[in-house]
Amino acid sequence: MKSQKDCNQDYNGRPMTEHKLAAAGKRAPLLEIRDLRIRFPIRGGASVHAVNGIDLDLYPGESLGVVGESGCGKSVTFSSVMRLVASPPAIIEGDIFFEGRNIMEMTTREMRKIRGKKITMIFQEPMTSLNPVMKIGYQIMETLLLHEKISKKAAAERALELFKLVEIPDAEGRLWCYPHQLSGGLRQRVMIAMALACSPKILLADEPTTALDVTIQAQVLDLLKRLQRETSMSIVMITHDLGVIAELSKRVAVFYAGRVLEEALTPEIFRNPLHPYTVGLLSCIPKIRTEQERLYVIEGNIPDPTNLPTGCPFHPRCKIATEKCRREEPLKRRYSENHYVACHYPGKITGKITV
Amino acid sequence: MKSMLSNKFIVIGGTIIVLMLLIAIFAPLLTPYEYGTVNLPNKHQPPSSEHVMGTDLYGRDVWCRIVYGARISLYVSFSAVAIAIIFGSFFGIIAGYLKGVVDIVFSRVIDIMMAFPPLLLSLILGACLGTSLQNMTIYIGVPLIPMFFRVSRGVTLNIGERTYIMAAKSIGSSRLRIMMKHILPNVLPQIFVVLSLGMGGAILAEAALGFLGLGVPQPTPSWGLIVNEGKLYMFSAPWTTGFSGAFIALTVLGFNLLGDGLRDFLDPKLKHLES
Ligand SMILES: Nc1ncnc2c1ncn2[C@@H]1O[C@H](COP(=O)(O)OP(=O)(O)OP(=O)(O)O)[C@@H](O)[C@H]1O
Ligand SMILES: [Mg+2]
Repeated sequence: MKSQKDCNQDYNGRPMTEHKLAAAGKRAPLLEIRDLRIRFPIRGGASVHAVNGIDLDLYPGESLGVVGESGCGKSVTFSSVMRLVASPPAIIEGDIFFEGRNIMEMTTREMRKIRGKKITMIFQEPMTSLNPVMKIGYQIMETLLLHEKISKKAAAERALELFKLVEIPDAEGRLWCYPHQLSGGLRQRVMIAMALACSPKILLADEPTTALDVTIQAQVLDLLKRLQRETSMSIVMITHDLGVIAELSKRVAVFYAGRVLEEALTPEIFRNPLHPYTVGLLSCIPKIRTEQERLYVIEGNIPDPTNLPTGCPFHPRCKIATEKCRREEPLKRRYSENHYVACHYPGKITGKITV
Repeated sequence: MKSMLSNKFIVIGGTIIVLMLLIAIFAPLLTPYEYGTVNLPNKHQPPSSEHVMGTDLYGRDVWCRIVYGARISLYVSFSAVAIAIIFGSFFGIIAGYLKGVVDIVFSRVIDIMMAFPPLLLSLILGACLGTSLQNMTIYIGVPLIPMFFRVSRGVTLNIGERTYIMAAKSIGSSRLRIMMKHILPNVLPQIFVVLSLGMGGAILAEAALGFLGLGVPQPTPSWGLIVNEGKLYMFSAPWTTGFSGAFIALTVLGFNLLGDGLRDFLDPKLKHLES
C-alpha cells in the first residue's frame, strides 16, 4: 500500500496524476495500468516474476513506444491488457482500466466485446499468426462478423478494402489465398488489416517487424506510420529497437525486469536520458554517437526472473550502484515535465546525444 | 489429385474399398437370389455355375449372403466409426483445449476404456445392451473412441498454444468458436488418416462379434454372421467360411492400405502440426 502512495507522488510530493492530466492536455487516459504484477509458478515453489509492478497510462490518439530487452515482460504486460494471459497458471495482480472500467473485473463476455473491437493486437510472429487451414480473407471477415451486424458479402467487400488500405498488391487475388502462399511481410500486412478491421481504439503492436528482413521492415513501419497519421487510434509499439521508436512514437516507456524504469517524450529521452539503463540502451545504437565514445555500455545479462535482485533491479549491472540501490527499490517519480524515472541517482550518468 | 494416384497404397486400398461399396450398393443387381430364402434340400452345395460360391447350411446362396452382408457390415462399421469420431474428437478437442481438470477427467475415463481389450469391451457392452443393428454400432463404436480421442487431443494440445489461436482469441472469438472454426479443421486431416484404420478395426470387430454370436439377429446377413454359421462345417463345406472370411480380410486390407497411403500422402501437408 505504501508503494502505491509513493508512486502517485512526484519529487515535490504532489499527486502525479494531476501533472499527467496537464501534460496530456487535460485528457483522461484511455488505458491505465496500475501496479500490474504477473508471475508464473514453476516447479519447486518458485515463480517466474515476469511483471513486477507496472504503472503506465495511454492517452487517446497517442503513440507510445515500449522498449526493453528480450524477456523483460513486454509481451506479457500487453497480452494481459487483453486478458490473453491464461490465469491459472499465471497469477495476475493489479488493475487495468480501459475507458474507466476495470478489465480485470470484466466477465468473459464483456471482454470478448473489447477484443478485436476496441483493443487489437499484432503478434510477434507473422509466420504463425494466421490459421494455416483458413483462407486469409475469411480470417479478416471473422473479426467483422464477430463485432458488426453486417452480411457476409459486406464483410468480404470490407476485407478487400482493408487489404487495399494495408497496400497488399493484387488484393482481389490474395484475399482467397491460404497463409502459406504469402511471404512474411504480406502476412504481417494481413495481421495489420485484421487488427484495423473494426477501427479499434487501441492497437497493440508487439514487435511487428522483428521477424521481417530489413527492407520489408521499413515498408511495414512506413505503413504503420501512415495509419497512425490517418487514424485516431492509440498505438503501443513494442520493440527492442530504439530506432523504430524514434520514428513512430511520441512517448517512450523503458521496460526492465518487468518494471518501467523511465518514461518520457521521445525527443526528451534521446536528449536527456536519466536512467543509467536508458543511457546504455542509447549508446548501443550504432548510428548515434554519445559525447564520449562508448561512454557507457551495459554489461552482464538481464536478471533471472525467478530470482530477482533486491532493491533496484538494474543495480547488478549499474556502474554507479550504491548500497542504497542494493537495499531500496527506487520508485518511478516525476523528474521534469513529461519525464519520469525510477532511479536513486537520475541523470548522474549523462548521455547527451550528438547525432 | 494426380500425386495421390501415384501412391500405390492409396490406389490399391481405394480400389478395394470402392469395389466393396459398389457391391454393397448394387447387391440386388448382382444376384438372382434372396438372402433369406431357406431351401434345405439344397444345403451345402459346393460352388457351381448356379451357386458361384456354393450354398450354406440352409441351402442359401453364399454369394448372395455375402453381397447383402457387405451392406450390413459396411453400414455397421461406418456408423460405429462415425460414433467414435464424433465422441472422440468432441471430447478430445475439449480436453486438449481446456486442459486442467477437464483434461484430467476425460483422459482418465479414456485410460479406463483402454485398459479393456476392445473386443472384451464390445462383449460387455453387447451383453448389456442386447443385439440389434443399432446396439451393434454402439458396442463396436465405443471401443474405437479412445483412438480418435487421443488423436484429437494430441493435435489440439499441439496447436492450442499457437499464435493463431491466440490471435483468434484476440479478435473476440469465444472458446466454442475457436474449437469449432480454428481447431477442428486442423484436427480433421489427422482424423481422416486414423479413420481408415478405424474402419478396418470395425470390420474386424463386427466379424469377431458375429462369430461369437453377438452379431446382427438372423436372418440378416453380415460377414461375421456368415462366418459364424459356417464354422461348424469348416471342413465339410469350407466355401461358406472361406469366401466370407476372404471378403473380411480383403476389406480390412483395403482400409489399412488406404490409411497408410493417406498418412504418407498427407504427411507433408500435416507438417505445420509438427513443432
Ligand atoms: N506462459 C508462461 N509461462 C512461464 N513463463 C512465461 C510465460 N510467458 C512468459 N513467461 C516469462 O515471462 C518473462 C517475460 O516474457 P515476455 O514474453 O513478456 O518478454 P518480452 O519482453 O516480450 O520479450 P521478447 O522481446 O523476447 O518478446 C520471460 O521470462 C518469460 O520466460
Ligand atoms: Mg515479446
